[in-house]
Order: sequence, then C-alpha cells, then structure tokens
Amino acid sequence: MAKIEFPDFDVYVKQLKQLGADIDGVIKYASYDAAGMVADAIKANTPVDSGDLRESLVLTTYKNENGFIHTKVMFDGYDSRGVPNAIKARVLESGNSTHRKHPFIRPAVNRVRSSAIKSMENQLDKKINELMKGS
Amino acid sequence: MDEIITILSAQGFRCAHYGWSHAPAGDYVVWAEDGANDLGADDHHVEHVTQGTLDLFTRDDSGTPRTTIEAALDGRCAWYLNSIQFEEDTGYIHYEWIWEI
Repeated sequence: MAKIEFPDFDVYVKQLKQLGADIDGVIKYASYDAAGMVADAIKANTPVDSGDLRESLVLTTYKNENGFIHTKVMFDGYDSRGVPNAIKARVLESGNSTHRKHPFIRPAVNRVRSSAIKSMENQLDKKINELMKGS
Repeated sequence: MDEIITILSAQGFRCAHYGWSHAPAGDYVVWAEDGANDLGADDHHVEHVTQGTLDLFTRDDSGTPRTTIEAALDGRCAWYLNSIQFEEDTGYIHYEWIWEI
C-alpha cells in the first residue's frame, strides 16, 4: 500500500494562516510599484500648458471593497482658473465638438500595462516567499 | 479603417481623419490612430496592432447612427464603445469608440 508522508504539516498550516492574515498587506505591497509605474507613465504623457494638470495627478490611498483591493490614479482638485482637473483631463482625452482630442491616458496605460503586471507578479512572489520562509 | 470609412461615407456620414479644420454644422465622424497595442513574445512584436478612436457627433438621439456605425465596425476590427457624452452647450451626443486593427 502506498504511503505518503507530509512532514511538518503543522508548520505548513501555520505558514498558510500567517499568509492569510497578511494577504491585504501583501497585495498592497505588490501593487504599490505597479500603480506608481502607471501614474508615472500618464504623468509623462500629460500635455503641459501651465503644468497644473500634470501636478494634479495623484494616487489615492488603498481601499478594500468587498475583497477587491485597489488604488486609483486620478486628477485631483482645480486648476488656477477654477476648472476641475478631472474634467480638463477628460476633455483632452476624449475631445468634444469644440476641442480636438489628445489621448494621453489610454496610450500611456497601454504602454506600461505589461511591465506593471510583471512587476506585481514579481513583488507578489517575493513577498509570499519571504512570509513562507519567515513563519 | 479605410474600408470602414468608405462604408460610413457611403451611408451619408461626413468623415474626417484626425479632425476638421472647420467642423460641419450637422452630424459628423472623426477617426484617428493614436497608438499601438502590439502582442509581444520572446522580445519580438509578433502581432502589430494599431489602436485608435472613432468619434461620432450627432444630434439624432434615436440610436440609429450608433447602430449603423457599430454594424460597420463589427467583423472588421476589434472595438468597444468607450463613452457617450451629451454636450449641453451644443446639443451634440458624442459617441466614442476605441478600435484596434
């Protein structure tokens, strides 16, 4: 009769429990660099007039909504003429009947998407390995 | 995209590449390339993909222009409707599609 041995099973269970307890932090850690890469790419692509729009690009703090941990890259506040930066970005990105479009968000995200996903994978592997070894 | 624009022009849409120096008074279409979304493998661009937008400015709120444009896009490129915005000051409904070829 075949026999399978699983030594230190309780250690493995302890490691999994620890990982479960730390998983929010692990995901935030893994996505932090990726979010920064996306923000940097958009910022570099943002048309500069006064510079208000570029400076208004921010990352929000991480939120956990029903198990979905995320941050947002957004244009915050108003420019020096009182125009909401989010609306200004929207008009630039999509245009309207009086303003020609200058897409700068989508092309930037397309360019950096693969490397941002790869960065998250690497950081996730690294952090999980650290936690599993450290338990 | 040339084939799609030819179809739309034949159906009465006034189309311009990148934009109009003076936009027409009525409904019109603008299309433009704005980037790539190539498929990479082993450090090679194995599939070259051009991405762009097609915008319709219309005051027709029946949905017919949208249906006509989507029928022209369908099967000829990958596409999705990115946004529909209503311009209160001009009365235009602005449809924006993202396409890839």
